[in-house]
Amino acid sequence: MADKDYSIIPDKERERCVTGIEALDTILNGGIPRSNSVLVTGSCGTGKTTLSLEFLVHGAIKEENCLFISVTEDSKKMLNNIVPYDFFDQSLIEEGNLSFIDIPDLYDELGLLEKSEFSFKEIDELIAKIEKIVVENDIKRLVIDSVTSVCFQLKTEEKIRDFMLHLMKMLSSHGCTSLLISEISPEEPRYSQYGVEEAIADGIIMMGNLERQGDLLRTLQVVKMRGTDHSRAKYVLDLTAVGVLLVPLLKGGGVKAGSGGGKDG
Amino acid sequence: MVSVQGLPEKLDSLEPGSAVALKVDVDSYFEVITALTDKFPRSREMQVIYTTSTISSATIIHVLDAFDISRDNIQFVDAVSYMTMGASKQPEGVTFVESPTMLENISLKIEYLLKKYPADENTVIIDSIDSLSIHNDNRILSEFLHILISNLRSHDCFTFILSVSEQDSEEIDNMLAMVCDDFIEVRPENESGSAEVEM
Repeated sequence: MADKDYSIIPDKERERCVTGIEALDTILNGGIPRSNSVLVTGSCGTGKTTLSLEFLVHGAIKEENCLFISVTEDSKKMLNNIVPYDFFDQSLIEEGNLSFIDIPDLYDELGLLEKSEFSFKEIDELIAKIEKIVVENDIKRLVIDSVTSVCFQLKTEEKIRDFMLHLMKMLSSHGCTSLLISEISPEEPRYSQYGVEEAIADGIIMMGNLERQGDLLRTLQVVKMRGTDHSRAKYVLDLTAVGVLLVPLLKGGGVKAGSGGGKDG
Repeated sequence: MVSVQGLPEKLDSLEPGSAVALKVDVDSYFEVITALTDKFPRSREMQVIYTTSTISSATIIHVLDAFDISRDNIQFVDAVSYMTMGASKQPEGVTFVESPTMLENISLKIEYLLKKYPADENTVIIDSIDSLSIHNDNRILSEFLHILISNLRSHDCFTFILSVSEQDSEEIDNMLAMVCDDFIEVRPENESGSAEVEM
């Protein structure tokens, strides 16, 4: 049997992928452990896409090659709708540090565009296609928006598990840190649509809308992150031109301050 | 206790990172505002972030204009106009918060302005703790002040929290005494030129 290196790397020593979102890096004790695949989950309007895009922009500024794979929306349209960051520079795209791919283009190349359900072989082909792009372009940060939409065409739990496992293993093997966006409905009591993604991912960043006394607050909570100590508290966030900002959610000494607590959605 | 005329001198003696509670008499209110937005920051080329939950930013802007005070270095966080449906347009230098109950969003807007307009020194004014206490439970308000002031201290900001003498409340005084470095009562100058002192 071949010898494997089972030496334990203490959390502080593990290389970090600094998100560039100052408060999130503080929550994560310095950033996402490099090569982790993180599920960014939440209902619509909670800021998942904006947060993920900012993660890529900061990577591109540091001259890491970053890729956004858009599944649900045309990437050009999405870019127009995104908050115009003060730190964003068009040259990041022109010089190739930040690139965008619409997944229908990949499906088209693989002859999957008209398929309503993918086979295991086609899932492997899709992952191989993404791997080729990651390797050829030395991609260090990747976002898929959303992985839920990809899973929609896999239908069975077995295929979803297979896809998620192979995708994350492949990305990790190339030192690529990824944010995989997961869409859930506001009432969903779990972290992912199919319940499989959350178990496999190295990390879960939960984003939500908290209703308190009629006010709707955007919230963020790191539920899990392998390879680092992290805060598990809930934070309130704002999407601004200087990036995502976070402050601790006020508790007011208990439930009373929130008028019977808050309702997450 | 400090007379309103003596306030600028008192402010000049403060160290960066100081958090000061200012208990202000209604008659001295606009003079105190003038001192905080003009005399004090002008002497140090400071940026001012004025958070209002009492009267609208539009009203304060009118007052500053009437006193011919430059607003070039002043940014407003207005937490009252949305609630009173007075935020139909967004004037330059004004950032709205939907409601004074959204305390986290007040902190976020202040943080945003500190990042958006970086300055060597900053003053943050909270006007006022009394109006915030109308809309918020005192426990959440005290938590808000504690977190906000700690954060502003880390930025070396001067923080001024206004309260109005006429709305005196022991609970609020205790809250301010706990989170602030200094508690200053500002009284109008009396006819003899000395500050009135309560016995």
